[in-house]
Amino acid sequence: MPIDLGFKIARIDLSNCQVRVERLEADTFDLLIGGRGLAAKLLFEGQPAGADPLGPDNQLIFATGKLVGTPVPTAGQTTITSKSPATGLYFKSNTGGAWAKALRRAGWDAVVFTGVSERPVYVTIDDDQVEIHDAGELWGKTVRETEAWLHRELRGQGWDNATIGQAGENLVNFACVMTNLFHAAGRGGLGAVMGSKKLKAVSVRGTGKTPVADPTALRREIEAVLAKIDGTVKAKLYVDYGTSATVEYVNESWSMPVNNFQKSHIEDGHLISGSYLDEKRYMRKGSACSACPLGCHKYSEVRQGVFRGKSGGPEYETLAALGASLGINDVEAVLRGNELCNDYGMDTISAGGAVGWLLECVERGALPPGAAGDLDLSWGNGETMVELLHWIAHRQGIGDLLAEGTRIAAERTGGDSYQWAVQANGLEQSRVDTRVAKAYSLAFAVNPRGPDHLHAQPMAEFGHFPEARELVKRILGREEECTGTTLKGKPELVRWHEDMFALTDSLGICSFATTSSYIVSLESLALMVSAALGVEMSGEELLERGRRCVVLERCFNLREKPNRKDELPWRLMNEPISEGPLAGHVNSAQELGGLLRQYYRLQGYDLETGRPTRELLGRLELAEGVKGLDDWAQTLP
Amino acid sequence: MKKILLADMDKCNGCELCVDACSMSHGGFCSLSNSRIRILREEPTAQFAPLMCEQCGEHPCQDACPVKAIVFDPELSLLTVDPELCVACGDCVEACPYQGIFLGEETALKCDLCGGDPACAGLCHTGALRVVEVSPQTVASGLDRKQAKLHFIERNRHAH
Repeated sequence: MPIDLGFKIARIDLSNCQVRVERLEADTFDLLIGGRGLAAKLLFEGQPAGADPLGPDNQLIFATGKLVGTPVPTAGQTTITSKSPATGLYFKSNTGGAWAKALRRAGWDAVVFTGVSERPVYVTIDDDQVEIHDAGELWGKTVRETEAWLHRELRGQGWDNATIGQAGENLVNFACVMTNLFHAAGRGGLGAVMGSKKLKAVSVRGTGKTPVADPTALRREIEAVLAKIDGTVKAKLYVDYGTSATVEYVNESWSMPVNNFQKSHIEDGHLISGSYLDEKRYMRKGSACSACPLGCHKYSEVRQGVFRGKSGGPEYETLAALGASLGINDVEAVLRGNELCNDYGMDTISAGGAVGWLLECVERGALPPGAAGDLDLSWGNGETMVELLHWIAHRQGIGDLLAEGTRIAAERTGGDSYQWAVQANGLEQSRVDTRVAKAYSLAFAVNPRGPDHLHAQPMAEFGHFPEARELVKRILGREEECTGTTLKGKPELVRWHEDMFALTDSLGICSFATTSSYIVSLESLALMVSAALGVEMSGEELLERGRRCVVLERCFNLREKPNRKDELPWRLMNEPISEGPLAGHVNSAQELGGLLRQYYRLQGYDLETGRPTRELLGRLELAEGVKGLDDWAQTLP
Repeated sequence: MKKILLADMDKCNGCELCVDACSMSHGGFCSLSNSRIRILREEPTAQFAPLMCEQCGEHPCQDACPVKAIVFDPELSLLTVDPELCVACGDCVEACPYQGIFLGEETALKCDLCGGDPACAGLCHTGALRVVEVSPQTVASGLDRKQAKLHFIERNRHAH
């Protein structure tokens, strides 16, 4: 017997403090599964094209998948979806912790915020009771202070909070939403959307029950997944070091973005690596997200000196963004920067990207050496980085310009400064050098949010470990393409990873289980969906639902901006890697164009424009299932 | 051979897979209200203690029960709650120094080792929960852990 696959959604209009309950039938599950897929549908249907990201029409959607609340490994993810102020386009950002499980136990699949409150508020969801409260006392507080205040105010255990810090309040274009203190829905400025609505926190307590269709079968399959962890290279690294395990490898293979992607290797890079953090006891055991046996999220502490303090993390991206890509190998400065970003609620990748852009502008004379007062704006200065993070969060001095993100900052600065803004479509690129990772380059270009790794992380292309090679063989029928720089087979790899990622997000589990460490195979996922939800779908049928989500997100973007291009940052498309064994590689327009055409063909998109066709939308049953899509699709070829 | 569930606080990462595994195997749904194991969380230090029946030799829960609902199961060699007799007064919950017995919707909830193959330990990947056969060695190592847990419970008494 399947469990109830309908959706219960709370619609909260902050302009007039109204709460409405909406129910969707199980046919939405059959179309788009839930979580990210459900949110993509709600976003497309629920707001007009051209809505101001920071205005009342933009929706801020918190959604979670049907596996959350069951013991399926890593089923603890919240997907936050909105139109981003940084990109002006569709944006979903995931976060862990225990917030998603609380929401599901409280009986909700999604919460949709619209409107703009006149004064600061926070919202409590206590099982089926939704209330809006004054947050005057909370405004201006850091994430840590906000958590502490809520803990006192709400008294008692069992509340899980999603909050913003000052970065969100000050509408920094890369402000995060933080859940359970240290887990970030990091990218795209969704914290600024929350701040624009004057919504400081969403606190949830759920005491209900999550049904499971076949407990015995579910336990059997979960035990099979858990048994694979220790023998799986990447999963074991997550268990031992978290994502920081990758730093040394990337640096030693000369593909670390150093000095704003000018160089590919940092001297003494091991000083910012996971093993160094572990050895010197900066890194400690952390708090795992709900139902996660990997527990990749570590805590860290600097015990003495000017950078003293503790925080959650650091992740690979942070060590690269606040460290290597600014020429900094002082791990204590990076940990301090990480803590500030967590506490202000600010994305470390974009913050590091903005600081790197400023340093390069000064290096090349587009901005004067005194652009930030007395601060020394040369590469490798940890104190400067830390100081600038304060400035950005408070929009102080040049921090006000940096808070806009590098696309806008470069537009305002002019000259050649756009070349050093390592962004495309308004999003700063993840600290991944796509010039030597061709599947990544395609995945980043077609990612609806911009060039980063969180819509498809095709780690398999490097063939580093047996699980990766096995997957490549399975997708391509052969495994010789297991290097980053080959082009052959990459569109197929990207397509599989995109579909799998969307499916993963839609079920509420973590991509680290399915597409990064590959401990959960598609077959295993189908077995767990069957046992947990009582839904019989093959792996391929599940994957097709992921693909529907990918196509729908593309439609949202084309409705907003018909001339949006699948592209990569200027530097990566125009400047070859300058040093090391991989020197000379670039993501040229010609190379990327070739990959894109093959990908469009696979997807059934128009080969010239990359737009989905009406025929495709009909075949995927999206035209019928998503209100307004067919009308909009009249404009398509 | 008598079995016992051992909890190692140093290994627990707070994921609560055990909590969901327990309630799932005892009722077909996942819920804190139906679980015989819970996690005491100390977030700032990332320390977590699995709370469940320690099968102690003193059994204050049994002594506290006014209706004699906590009875010895000779087959499993442990104390279990007889749901027919239990009146859910909560006296056993108060009496347990390990906070290892809980008040469910209708009766007190106490670990029954799932009949010998505990679901919680089956889904614990960190090694924080292990089922061992009782021997002089396991009893000795269990004692140290119990002491550490009592200190942790005391430190977090107000949070619970």
